[in-house]
Amino acid sequence: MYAYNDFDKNYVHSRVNEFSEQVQRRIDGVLTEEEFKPLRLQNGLYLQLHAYMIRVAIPYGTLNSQQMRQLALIAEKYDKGYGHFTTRQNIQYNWIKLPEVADLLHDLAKVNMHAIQTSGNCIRNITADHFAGAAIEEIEDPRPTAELLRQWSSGHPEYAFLPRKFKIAISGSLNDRAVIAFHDIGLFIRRNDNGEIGYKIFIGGGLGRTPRVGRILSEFVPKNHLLGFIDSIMHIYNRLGRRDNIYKARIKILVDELGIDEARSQIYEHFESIKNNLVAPSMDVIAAIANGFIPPDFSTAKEHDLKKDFLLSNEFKHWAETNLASHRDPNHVIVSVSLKKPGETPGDATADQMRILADLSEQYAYDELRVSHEQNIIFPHMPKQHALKIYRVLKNAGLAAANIGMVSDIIACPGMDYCALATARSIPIAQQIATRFVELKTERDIGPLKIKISGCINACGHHHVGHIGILGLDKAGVENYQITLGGDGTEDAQLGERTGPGFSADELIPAIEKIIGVYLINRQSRNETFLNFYRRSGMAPFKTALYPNKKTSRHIL
Amino acid sequence: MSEWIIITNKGFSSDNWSNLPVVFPEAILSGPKYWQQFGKIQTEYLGKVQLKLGNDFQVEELEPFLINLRAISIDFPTANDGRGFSLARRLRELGYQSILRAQGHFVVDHYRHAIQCGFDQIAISPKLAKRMPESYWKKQIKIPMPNYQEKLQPGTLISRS
Repeated sequence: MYAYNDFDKNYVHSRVNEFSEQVQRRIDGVLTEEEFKPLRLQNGLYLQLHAYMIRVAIPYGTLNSQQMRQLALIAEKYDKGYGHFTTRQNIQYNWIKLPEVADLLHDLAKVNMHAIQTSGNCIRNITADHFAGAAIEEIEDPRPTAELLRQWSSGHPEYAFLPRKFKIAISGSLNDRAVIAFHDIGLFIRRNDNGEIGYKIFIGGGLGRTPRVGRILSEFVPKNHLLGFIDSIMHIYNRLGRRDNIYKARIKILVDELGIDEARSQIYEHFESIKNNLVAPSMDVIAAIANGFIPPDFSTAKEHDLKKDFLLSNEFKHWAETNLASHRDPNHVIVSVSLKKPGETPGDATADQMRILADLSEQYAYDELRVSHEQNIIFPHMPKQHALKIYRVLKNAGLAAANIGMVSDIIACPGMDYCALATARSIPIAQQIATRFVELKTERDIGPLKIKISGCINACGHHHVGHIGILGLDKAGVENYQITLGGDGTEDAQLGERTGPGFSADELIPAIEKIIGVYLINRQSRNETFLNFYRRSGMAPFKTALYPNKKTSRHIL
Repeated sequence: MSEWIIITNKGFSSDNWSNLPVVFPEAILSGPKYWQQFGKIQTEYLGKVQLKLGNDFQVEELEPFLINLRAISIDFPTANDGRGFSLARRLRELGYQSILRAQGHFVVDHYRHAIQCGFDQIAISPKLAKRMPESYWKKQIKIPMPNYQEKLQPGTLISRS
């Protein structure tokens, strides 16, 4: 794993000191609240509904056991004994007291972690495929590129006060597990016809109140041009992005207004003008980063047939069916630990659970953990011989929910329970849906189905890309939930389509049951997933079931 | 008292541009006819004015004149509008070598950004300078911050201090 060198450590400590100074300047009255706010946000500190919230970056979702234990310690020392893993590979602590923030940041810095640029109108934490370095179909591990971009974007003086926040994600696989097409910049590592490795680049994707699928900016940018090319995108955006309206300030709107061809032409014009003077990072810098991502020695794992373990434990088999994925090495598996135990808050982990995950990774899985954008924890490299053992430990810790990719593996934003922006609750809705389908015992029969819930139009719960998406709004003081169907955040990127009028909190769960009922009754076979069924059938049968008395429910197709 | 307090890496000073007439880019771009009104040749004229730029100006248009200009200021209308940083860096890329000033609502915390993007000096109002005294700027100027961009792409940012 990439280990911070003295330069990185010095940077993090300097930023902590800088922030302490900024807090002091605010207290001294040198900075007004308006001037202080962007500085506070760039250090990950939000003022939330009940208290301050701090958002800690987990760059490209990778962390080791020591870091996970420190996150546990922070949960106990500064919060109420738990933390919330987010959809952008961060962890949030929701109950922070302002006078303790500097100490918290010092504790984070001890394990080379920080909250830098996790908020504010700057380039945010760079996210990556959570199966990086383990997936079979991977062209190249995306994390060295992500680390390069982390360094390049950290404290970049030109891009500290952009029109709006800026999110970059990268995948090195053919399959997209990192919602690439819904980022301000999305990068796919690709090989060109000459076998050289470079990047396919999307811009202007995003969710929020104006959801957009990213548009292709370039089919192939060579590796040594990457920083210059990203620089050109950022430069054009910083100069031309709208600043008159917060809701029109993301790069997706600039791309809408210019058109992708004009945007591309301006970006390329700038890039051509700087290309000849472009400085690529030195071999030493690249090698130092690459050294941080050398895969563990997989040859020490023994050959092991999991089928033997299945005979020992049916429960383990049940869990393995959903929570294990194939690894590039035949003696390993990728383990997804679900933080979606039905009835609990999606993405929350207690300090004790974090310590158990840290211990397991250290003892059995090369000291490496990942956080997925789906708010689960991953052991990217687990020797098959240890899978049953770790399952039993996870089960005792309440971490063995066997539901990855299923109905109860729901993404939900914090919603009205924590967030100052939310217009409806989302966590309780997630809990009710999960509990309901567990009661019905239909989860396995339903199969792969991604439900995503946002408690307001800002779409932190990614509802636009849920197979079933739920958006909670406030209609004259009453919570109202709109449903979208057919969203897809993978390489087949698609925005969900609204079913029609929304539902009250009481009507919502029955409506979800109806939707799933339509699928179960009409699917061709169990091999036809919910999403595939929707693509074949379209909206009509769902409308008929949801709005039986409406004329509009007649078939449109 | 001058209208602006100037901040460089030495601290506060008074405005030594107060004798230079202010011009806006439209005047320069309007071409030779304009220069004849003054009865001066263009190069001489450009060296004796201060050019004021809004932060949404297409600085590429100024490229032919940059070699003769001696004083350019870029407006910072609010403390959270970063367009001026991009314009400064772009002007340096396009070959502007003389003094570049960031002027307006500029706070001490952004000093590093300005210098790294190619500014030489900051101009703030006496009112703002009163709230944000010299001691805070001097302290900030001294604090080193490791610079990833310089490490990755030496010479790409234009720090002139």
